[in-house]
Amino acid sequence: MSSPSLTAVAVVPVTRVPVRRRLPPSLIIGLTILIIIVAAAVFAPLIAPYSPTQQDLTNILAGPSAKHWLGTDELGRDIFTRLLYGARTDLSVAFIAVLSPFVLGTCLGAAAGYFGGWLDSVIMRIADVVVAFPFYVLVILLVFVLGPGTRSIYIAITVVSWVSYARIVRGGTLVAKNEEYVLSARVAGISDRRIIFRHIVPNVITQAIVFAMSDIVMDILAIVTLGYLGLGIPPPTPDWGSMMAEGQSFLTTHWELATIPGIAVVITGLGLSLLGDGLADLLRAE
Amino acid sequence: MSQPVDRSEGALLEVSGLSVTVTADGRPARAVDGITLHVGHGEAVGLVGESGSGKSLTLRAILGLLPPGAAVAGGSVIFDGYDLVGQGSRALRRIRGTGISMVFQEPMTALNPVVKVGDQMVDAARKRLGWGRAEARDHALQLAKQMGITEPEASLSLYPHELSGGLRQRVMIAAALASRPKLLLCDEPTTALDVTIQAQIIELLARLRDELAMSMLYVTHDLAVVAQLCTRVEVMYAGRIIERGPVTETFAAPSHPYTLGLLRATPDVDDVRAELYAIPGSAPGVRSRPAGCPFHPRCQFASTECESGDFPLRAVSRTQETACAFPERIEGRARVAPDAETGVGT
Amino acid sequence: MTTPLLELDQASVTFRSRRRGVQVRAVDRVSLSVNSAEIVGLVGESGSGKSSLARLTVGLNRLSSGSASFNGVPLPVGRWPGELRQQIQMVFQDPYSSLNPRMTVGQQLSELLRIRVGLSRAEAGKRSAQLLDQVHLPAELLDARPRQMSGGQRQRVAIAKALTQGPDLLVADEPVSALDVSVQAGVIKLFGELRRELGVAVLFISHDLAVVRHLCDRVAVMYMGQIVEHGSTGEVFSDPRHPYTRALLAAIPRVTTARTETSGAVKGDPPSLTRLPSGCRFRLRCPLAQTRCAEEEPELREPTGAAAGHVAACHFSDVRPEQQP
Repeated sequence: MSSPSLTAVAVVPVTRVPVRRRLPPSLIIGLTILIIIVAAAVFAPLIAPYSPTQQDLTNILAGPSAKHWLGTDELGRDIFTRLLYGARTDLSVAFIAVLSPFVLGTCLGAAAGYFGGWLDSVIMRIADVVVAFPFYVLVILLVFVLGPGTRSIYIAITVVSWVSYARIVRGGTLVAKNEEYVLSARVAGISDRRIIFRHIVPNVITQAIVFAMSDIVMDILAIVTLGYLGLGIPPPTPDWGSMMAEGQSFLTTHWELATIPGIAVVITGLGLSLLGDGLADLLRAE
Repeated sequence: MSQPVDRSEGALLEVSGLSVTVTADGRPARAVDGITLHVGHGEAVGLVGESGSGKSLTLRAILGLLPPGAAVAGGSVIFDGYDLVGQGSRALRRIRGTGISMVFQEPMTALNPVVKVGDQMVDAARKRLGWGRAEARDHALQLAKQMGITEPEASLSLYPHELSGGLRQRVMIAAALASRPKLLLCDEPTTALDVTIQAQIIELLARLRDELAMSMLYVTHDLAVVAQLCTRVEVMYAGRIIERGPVTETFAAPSHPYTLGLLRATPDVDDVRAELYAIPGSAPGVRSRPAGCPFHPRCQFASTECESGDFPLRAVSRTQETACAFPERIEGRARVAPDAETGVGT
Repeated sequence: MTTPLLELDQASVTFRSRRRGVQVRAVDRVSLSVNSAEIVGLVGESGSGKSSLARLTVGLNRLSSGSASFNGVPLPVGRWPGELRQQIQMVFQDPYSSLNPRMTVGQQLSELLRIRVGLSRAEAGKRSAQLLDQVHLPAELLDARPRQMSGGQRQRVAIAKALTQGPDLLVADEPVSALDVSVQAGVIKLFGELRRELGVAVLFISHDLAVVRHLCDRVAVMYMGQIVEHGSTGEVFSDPRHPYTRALLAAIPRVTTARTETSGAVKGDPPSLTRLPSGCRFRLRCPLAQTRCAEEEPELREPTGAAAGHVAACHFSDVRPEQQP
């Protein structure tokens, strides 16, 4: 007797993509909230009954009514409309404001982690300096110096926020660069640049993405705060921060002017946090 | 001919019909399927299988140390008269302290990272044997020396993370032995060790088995280690025991194609002429176990009758049992050449 | 005699230990060669330096002294040129981390084929299927991700990746150690096949002497960074001349006999690489050690009565075990 010819190894049937695991509830709730808010922002021009800047000085500080679901502010502008348009403004600015530190931080962190040596030292020391300042102090200072406006906001937030991403990605890169699949790519002769961006980064980026979710919340708050301080998006573009600032004088009489945008911020923040948690759970399970 | 051969009266450990389910992707699956085995006093039994066979889970189920998601789904485990299944954790801790010790595959998870290794061994000895500190310390040093640890004083005053992998493993084994257990459960303890160190540990375990009449249930994928240490072997595949018997007879003339395949796949350092046999395919996952005989898709002796029905263990000789319905098909296909010393296989 | 494919001459690799800044010579003046279509085994336990040596041959470690050359050309110090990378490839030990978890098998093969071999996307697709066939895997696995495959399948994919650029030499660092024994046999046979059919030479690093005996033409035994014995496999295994080789052989458990007496096996642990004994490194654990061993480091030389090409580094390698008191 002889052992059977083994030129063809019996095949284990390749399992199709596994049945979708149950998505974490936090992910579902967070996503729902966010979808509602984003939809509201995107479709604001269609949904909003009025223009956000349209004043009606005959009807100021009106309470909720059939014509104005959330009432009007001190210049007779419809609060509901301004809320929707405010969402548009704040969300888009926050999203873009997160993107650029994300990209910058990832690149610097990956380079620092992969190449090590003096590059790593320089980048990390700069990071340490930036992080030594409290977030708001630095952001406000930069916006003040650069002059208020969306461009300044983007620059300020980028300069301050890239550090977290850099650290997260650097940490992941330090571990990944000794993994055998990276060594195998090096031995195969693949360029460092491709190794970093095509092999290492996709495997370490998930933590950064989850962090980005909470960072968007931070940025919304930052923009709102800047708006409140008068350093944010210039009027008459509605944004929740300036709405809260303007409504502050009416807190005792018409509290809804300040509170409603405040609640909107809270709900958005909650949605993003839940989304971040859910994503973290989902990606960790992989 | 269909009666089980185990004469297990008076056995130290009796496992009957043990099943363990694991939950993967939200649905339960049977990883261990009705295992029955026993270990006598002073006896070393090898539990052999590859990854996915369920051998590690079996061991953990005996001590109630199943990972989250796994649970005993049936059967009983009787140690020295106590039924271990379904005991509360406090009762189990007591039982674990009074006679069963386990040596794990991964030493880092078994040792307390913030306690020096010497102290861990001393604590184990004192708790179980009621010794004084000085006595226990001597005992620990002795054991360390026996383990081949060249500088026992120095090594024992270190923390686990300060030791090399091999040293850690030996410290863990020493710690498990410090309480002089009646039964030692071993889960691949020497797999990660160098062969020269493995040889020393096997020698030590054999000596302890003989001098202290310590029983062992030794889980491994390495047939040769089982041949060194154990008198009986149980071969596991896909959650079930598919062959059992005395080590020398079973390895000289297996009665299940899987055992034969394993023997033929193991390269022999002494006999280079033998052709290496690779069992085609791979072991089924917990969810994809085939109907009929679990091994039949990979078996070169299988026929249509193997595709359905039950294949319980049955006796093929006074001492051996197999789950194969057609052991005669592999008769005479001993992988191992007759052994000059023992005459087995001639 | 044609130029060997890979030639190391008194090659050393030194690391600076992080604590105390001590230098550690992981590979100490090793001379080794691999010829075309030859399978050479490199055997040793932990601390022997075999992995460091393997990594040296693929440019992951730097040579600190001596020479290392491929086809007569010294291995470069900095970045390796593409052509050299095509000729020497490596297969790593852990099938669970040697493949990119986020790319499919097809993507990983195709990337190499397009970037390193210059094939078009379509050509790369076809060649990927051929490569999988060469390692006896079905083409459907091109769409699979590593986590959907078993250890044996992953290791075969790793071998397929190493073959994409058509190397002349494969350096395999413990390629079967993490596999189940029944799966291991298939991969071992695959290496033999690749040598027969493609003429690929293999430097096969392993701690498992039985595997090495089965597969390799020649074997070198390493201990604490040095080669202590070297020769054709049959010779070294049937007539080991270094006490460490004998100890290794004695320590391997056999399926046939239950020998637990460790005659000829060693006691204790290997010394730390930072505090090596004087003279012969093995003397503290060696049953034959004498005063001479502490004073004089033995050289690799051909013992009397040994076959040509069989060398050992022991003062007493001329004396065979049966002749010892």
